[in-house]
Amino acid sequence: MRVKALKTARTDKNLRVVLAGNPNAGKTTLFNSLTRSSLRTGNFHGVTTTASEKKRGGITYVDSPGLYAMNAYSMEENCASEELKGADLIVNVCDALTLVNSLNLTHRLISVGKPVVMYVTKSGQLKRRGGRIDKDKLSSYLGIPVFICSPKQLKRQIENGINFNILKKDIPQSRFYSAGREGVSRADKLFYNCYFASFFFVCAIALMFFLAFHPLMIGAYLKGLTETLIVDKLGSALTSFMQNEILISLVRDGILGGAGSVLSFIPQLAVLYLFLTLLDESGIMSALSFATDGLFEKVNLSGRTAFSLVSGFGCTAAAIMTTRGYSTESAQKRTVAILPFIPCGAKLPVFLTFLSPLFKNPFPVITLLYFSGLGLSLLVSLLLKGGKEGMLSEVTPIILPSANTVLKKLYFYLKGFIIKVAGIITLFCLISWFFSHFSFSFEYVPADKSMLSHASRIILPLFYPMGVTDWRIAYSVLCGFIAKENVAATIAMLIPDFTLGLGEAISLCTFMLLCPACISAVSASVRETGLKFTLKCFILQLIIAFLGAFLIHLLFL
Amino acid sequence: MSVFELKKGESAYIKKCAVTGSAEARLKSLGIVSGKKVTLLAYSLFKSSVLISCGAVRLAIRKAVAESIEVEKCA
Repeated sequence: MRVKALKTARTDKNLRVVLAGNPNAGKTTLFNSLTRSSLRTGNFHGVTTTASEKKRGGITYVDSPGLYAMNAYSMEENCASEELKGADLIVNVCDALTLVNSLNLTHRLISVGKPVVMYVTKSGQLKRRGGRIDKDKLSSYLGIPVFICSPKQLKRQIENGINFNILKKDIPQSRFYSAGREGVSRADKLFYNCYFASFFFVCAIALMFFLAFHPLMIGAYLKGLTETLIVDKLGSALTSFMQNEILISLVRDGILGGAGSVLSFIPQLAVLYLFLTLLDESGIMSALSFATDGLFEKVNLSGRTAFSLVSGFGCTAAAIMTTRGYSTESAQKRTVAILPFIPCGAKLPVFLTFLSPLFKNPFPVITLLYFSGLGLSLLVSLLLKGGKEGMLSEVTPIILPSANTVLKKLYFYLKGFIIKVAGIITLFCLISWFFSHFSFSFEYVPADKSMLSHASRIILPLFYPMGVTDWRIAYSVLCGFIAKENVAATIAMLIPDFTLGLGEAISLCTFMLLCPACISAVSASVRETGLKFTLKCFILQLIIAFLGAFLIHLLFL
Repeated sequence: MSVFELKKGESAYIKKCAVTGSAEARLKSLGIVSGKKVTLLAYSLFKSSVLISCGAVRLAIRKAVAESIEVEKCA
């Protein structure tokens, strides 16, 4: 009968397949292969916090957050139980390494009364540690089909219809599963030591910045090459056969000088993302969130916040989404409030734009900026009052991540960055170029007489206490609220030979460090914490940013 | 004694889980129930939490919850 139900649904072309399972079973990895998506994955419990769906070949696949039982401990689990209600077929994704524990959930899923199949992941890892799993016997024990295959084969099975005619038999567990060696490896022991883990983290971050920013290291070296390639070589090649002065300025200054110059930060961002991906995929982040729990407990948060904050180095909006796994709303709100103090990847080109003209080696200053952001966020969370957040979460074993996974993730990060620059940043540069090259009577004029200069001078007085007297800088900083990369792009476009005094540069960096995040982070914050709370944070951060920048500039006077 | 009082590397059997609410449900679904053997793997900074292993599960537990899991040391 179940087969029939599935087949009818198929002809209606709206079969809804929901992937459900324990946290860190590999649901999102499976979802990504089934639907060719690039949702965020990680070797960590609770990476996925919202359900996502995608239609492929007439079948809607739904990825859901990890689930332990049908009654929820954290907010994200509620979301997963909701999704199950609308399912036509439930694919129970199970981690082979912890199969026995996930059977609990499997029995619950079967009792929902919908067709259920089991898909086992990480069977290779189980084999390597000497474990064994018998697919057919497990299938008879549960009374449902069990798949240990590639995602492609699973997809084919779902499309062609699955045979649910399986006789349930009483089989002892030892006949279909043996766990192998479950012991703690040497790497595990090392990273579970809280002092080593904290020390390792600080060193890893320092090494990451060293490789990215030290002028003799790979990041800075490749950045120089890319910049010459995009701005100079491509620029002169494109403009060589153009006659019109306005057109040349549009291509050379507007598109290549602005958006193109931001693209040249790709090598340095790649180093940053590579480190974050390695932390994530190796399970070190998971160990770290346990080891540093004591630090966060002091500010009424939990080790999970470490995961959110480190995600914040990549993208604040994505980091805000990770807070959904928290068990209390108060802790979630506090974490969202402190996240903008963690400089995201997009702020990196901005810091470099401000600091590069002054420092031959910006590595120490940038490292200092990042660590002060981290320290400040902890300080602010200490000042914010609220209930305690508990700690009750699984920790994954440390593994050597496969090169394939890491490169794939890195590729998607960088692709996202390029798409963003080619889209919104280029568009913004074009708009800025237009307003900075035309007057109110639409005549082509030098920038100083343009519409933009007149408009920007209105807000310029706000920046006087930071020592900024150039309207172009004030305008660039303002653009940062759309996307932080805009600051670097606009400065590169409007001010070709950009240089600042030390006081102004440090003061502007402080402002960038403290100011509210970009529009996509703000909208993520509205979704997670509501408009009122977001606005309150936004205004407070703006005030803190201005005051902080004024103070720093005073120190340098 | 509670699981929180175990030393690093020591193992014990769970005697009683006096944990309530949603934390109880989570422990249960992870198979951390009376009769099971647990091993203490590590302490976090400032001893705020412990990391225990129980079968294939490795779980970080905050002090308050860990203190309500009563254990008996293995002979």
